[in-house]
Amino acid sequence: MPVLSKEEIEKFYEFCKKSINTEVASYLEACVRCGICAEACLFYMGVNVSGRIDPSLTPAYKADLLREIYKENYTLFGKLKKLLGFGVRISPEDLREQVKLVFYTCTNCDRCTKACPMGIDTPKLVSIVRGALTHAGLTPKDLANATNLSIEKGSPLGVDIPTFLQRLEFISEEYEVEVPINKKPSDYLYLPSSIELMKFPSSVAAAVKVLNRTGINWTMSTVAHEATNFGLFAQSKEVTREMLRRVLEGAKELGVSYIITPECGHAYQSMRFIAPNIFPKDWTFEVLNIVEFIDRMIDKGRISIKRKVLKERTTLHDSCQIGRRGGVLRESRRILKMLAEDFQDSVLIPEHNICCGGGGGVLVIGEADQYRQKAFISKMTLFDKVEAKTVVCYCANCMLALTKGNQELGRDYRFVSIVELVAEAMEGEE
Amino acid sequence: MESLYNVFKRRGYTRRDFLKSALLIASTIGMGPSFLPQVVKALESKPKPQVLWLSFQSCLGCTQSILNSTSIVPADVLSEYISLEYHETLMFSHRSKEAMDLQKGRYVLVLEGSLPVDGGFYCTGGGRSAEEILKSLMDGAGLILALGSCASWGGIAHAEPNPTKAVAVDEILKHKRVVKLPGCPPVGDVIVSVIASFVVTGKPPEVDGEGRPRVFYGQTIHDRCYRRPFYDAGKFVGSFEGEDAQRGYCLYRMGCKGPITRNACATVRWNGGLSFPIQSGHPCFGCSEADFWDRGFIYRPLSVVEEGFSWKEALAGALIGTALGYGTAYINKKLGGG
Amino acid sequence: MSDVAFYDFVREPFLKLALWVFFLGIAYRFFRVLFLGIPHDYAKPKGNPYYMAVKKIVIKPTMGWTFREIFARRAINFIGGFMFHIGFIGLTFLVPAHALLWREITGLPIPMMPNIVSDMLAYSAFGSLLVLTVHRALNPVLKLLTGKDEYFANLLIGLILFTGLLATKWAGSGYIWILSIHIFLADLLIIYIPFSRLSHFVYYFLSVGFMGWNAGKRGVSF
Ligand code: SF4
Ligand code: SF4
Ligand code: SF4
Ligand code: SF4
Repeated sequence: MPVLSKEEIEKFYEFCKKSINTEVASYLEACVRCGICAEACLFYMGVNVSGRIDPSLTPAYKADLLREIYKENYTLFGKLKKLLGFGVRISPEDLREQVKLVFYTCTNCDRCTKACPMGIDTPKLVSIVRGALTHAGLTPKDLANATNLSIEKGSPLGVDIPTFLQRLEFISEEYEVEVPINKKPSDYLYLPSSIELMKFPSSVAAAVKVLNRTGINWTMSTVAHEATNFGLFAQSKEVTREMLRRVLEGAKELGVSYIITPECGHAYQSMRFIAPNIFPKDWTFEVLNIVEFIDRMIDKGRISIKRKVLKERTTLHDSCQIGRRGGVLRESRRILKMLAEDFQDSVLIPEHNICCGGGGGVLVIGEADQYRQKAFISKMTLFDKVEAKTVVCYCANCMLALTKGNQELGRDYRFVSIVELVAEAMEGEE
Repeated sequence: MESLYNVFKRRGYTRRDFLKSALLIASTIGMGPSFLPQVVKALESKPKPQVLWLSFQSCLGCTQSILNSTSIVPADVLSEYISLEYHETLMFSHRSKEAMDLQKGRYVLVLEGSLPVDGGFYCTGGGRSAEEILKSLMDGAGLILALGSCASWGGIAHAEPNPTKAVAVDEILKHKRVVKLPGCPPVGDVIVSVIASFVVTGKPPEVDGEGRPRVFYGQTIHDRCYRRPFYDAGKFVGSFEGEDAQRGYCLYRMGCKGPITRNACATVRWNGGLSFPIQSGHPCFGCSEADFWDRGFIYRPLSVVEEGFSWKEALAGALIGTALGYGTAYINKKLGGG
Repeated sequence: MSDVAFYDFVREPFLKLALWVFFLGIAYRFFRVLFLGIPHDYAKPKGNPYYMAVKKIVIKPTMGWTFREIFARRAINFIGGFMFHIGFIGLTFLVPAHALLWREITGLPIPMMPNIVSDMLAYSAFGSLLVLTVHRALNPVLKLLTGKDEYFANLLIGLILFTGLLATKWAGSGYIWILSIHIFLADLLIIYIPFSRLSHFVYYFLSVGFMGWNAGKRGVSF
């Protein structure tokens, strides 16, 4: 961690101050300090399970510094206190703690929001603190590197255009699929995420197979070739905007009207909910997640699932950004019921599912590993509850995080991508 | 001097009538039946009390009230027994001196009405101001009774704007023990039994911190009200007409001040134990508590804000709050830069 | 000062002051937040945000029950919180003496409840408040989150419930004093609400409304 100067603290403070609006202020004011959110947060639960209670992982506590700053700038008493010299004093240690709280131990999973009796959207508040820390230059090193890489090379994993084409070539050869690139005119644009491209090429291939099978007019683009958006993790407005601008440019050039996002949480989040606000005029596309898309196609009879490819007890892991925060929860369950013989949902209500522990950039931050592993313990309780060893995912980042946790803790769960299963099950008909 | 029993006999009542009265006196002053022989003995042997009755700024309601007391001793006996050695309104003022000499140390000084202290001519008798008359008589009294709410608290003369600067009698009798029997007017039977108890025991009755006899003023009307079960059940009279009023529901909503009023109405009742205001369907308006005239709202529930805090005030408050809130938000947006 | 004089003071001028402060302060706090404004959202909603916002405001308090594990771990919070809130709100509005005041203020025909119900509510609210306070003092998470504000509020409310119970049941000759103290403390509470976290009930509408709005925007059930 770099040495902090006054100026950086000042920057942090100013950013927090500027980010207040009605929604944020009502969240900050409404908290009744009941601490119920703690029990919803996988980081708190995980640490708790391992026997040591760390109350500072309570979601409400993550927003406390922001709350103080809000109070002394927006309320009468706070202002008075500040005037009398009892204002907030932020020490470098405080900021370091904030880094731990918002970057290491929060994945913006939104589960606390659902449990909070006052409906407080802690991820929103955490995002503001993240933004402020980024503004002050305190983004964790690993995350900052990945973010910079995505600006320079177009992808956090350093996948530039030549690598992109090379990987696609590899995929089309290896899996014997035909990949349309920069095909004009097209209706649908499919963007892979570089995590899939590099680490799970088979799911890209599966997606391509499914897309081809539907018979729609689709393509990939060399301009809009990266779906992930690390700007969201770091909460840097500039990076978010730049990444989305590339997508916009590519999509416009190809004249598509639909964008299909891959199995990637933040990709869907950024393109579905954030892009329209950054480009209110230009962003005219309908954004679909691949799971949503498959469900639609099955509905229209364009593809059909012929056989159940999973024989064993299976459960589903929801990607928070696509599911709880994206609204694609029922679709995945509908599809999985067709795919698995023994599907057991691990939660009563889909919105209750627990995060993988690696979202929001936590996965790439080395310092956060210990917390992520603890979080994996909370996640595991759900798998064990339904005694499932096979877990279906629909986000590559989740898959990566879960696989990592699985290895690190020496467990034997198997994680599979839902698109791959669909591709496999489609084949059954021949 | 005659005892109570003598008066009974002379008036042609039987011993049985006398014992009945003795029992009533014993029970109203809170002595159990075991004390009855003692009470009877005292009433047989002790001479009747000498009462000096001074009226200041009053309506004579209290006098009226004692004359109406019939349930403890028959009216004709009462008027002979309580011998008014001196009554400011009924007798000539020059006799007061004589009476005082006669009864020094033993007489009962009954004070009715409040005292004006602004130096005017009100209540002047025989050239002496009310205050002077009172001061000249106070030392010889064995029992000083502040009769009614005026004497006890200042009463109606003391109510806003209090033109005569009226005060309660104990403001003048600072270091005297004054027994207060507030009420507007106080229940006649209560006055009689307090005087009778003085005859029996020779001492003033046991009083609370404000000087009121505990037996009669220890509890609120509400505590002893026979309509209390309806209060507890949440059944209230909403208007003086209609079924609820006929059913005899609680009168709280009609403005009953029973919960904060200590008096004996609910137990001793009025007119020979016949009834009392609440029983007749009218809310208690708290006549025995200090400054009840100034409280003013007779027919509105005790718990409302007297001069009205209605939705208009609430809305006005909220609107001011809204305006302030808007201003603050506006400034904050400017400063915070949003 | 005699008890009735004190009673008249707390019932009339002081209560009036308290009500002014309350309505002014609460409106101020609510609108101070509301008028901060919020950027327009251009993303096409997947559900119906407005409907969800209203729905959540209505049913949010019951949603905790669906989280079985959380509920199991925090039964004290949920059950105690429910009992306390129902008791407190019920007592505040429906005890006859209070209801008549609220009728005067709102002009609505607020129902009045019999003593037996208010007693039960008072016992449950008082008991749960006690348990919640102890829980607050012992649970590590709550210890971290709690400030003086919460303890003071709990103390004040506890005293109000206690004196209220005492006045209706065991006050004896001290009835008027206890009733006056009850009203006095209630006045203090009414004044204190706008200055403290007790005003969360107005923000409930905002924050839960936003939460429902977001749920509607994302097309999730909650
Ligand atoms: S958003 Fe998720 S990870 Fe973050 S504090 Fe809430 S429950 Fe915990
Ligand atoms: S659950 Fe909500 S109200 Fe309770 S402490 Fe957490 S954020 Fe605050
Ligand atoms: S009528 Fe008056 S004194 Fe009787 S119970 Fe009702 S409020 Fe109390
Ligand atoms: S009922 Fe109340 S107002 Fe009526 S005489 Fe008795 S104390 Fe006075």
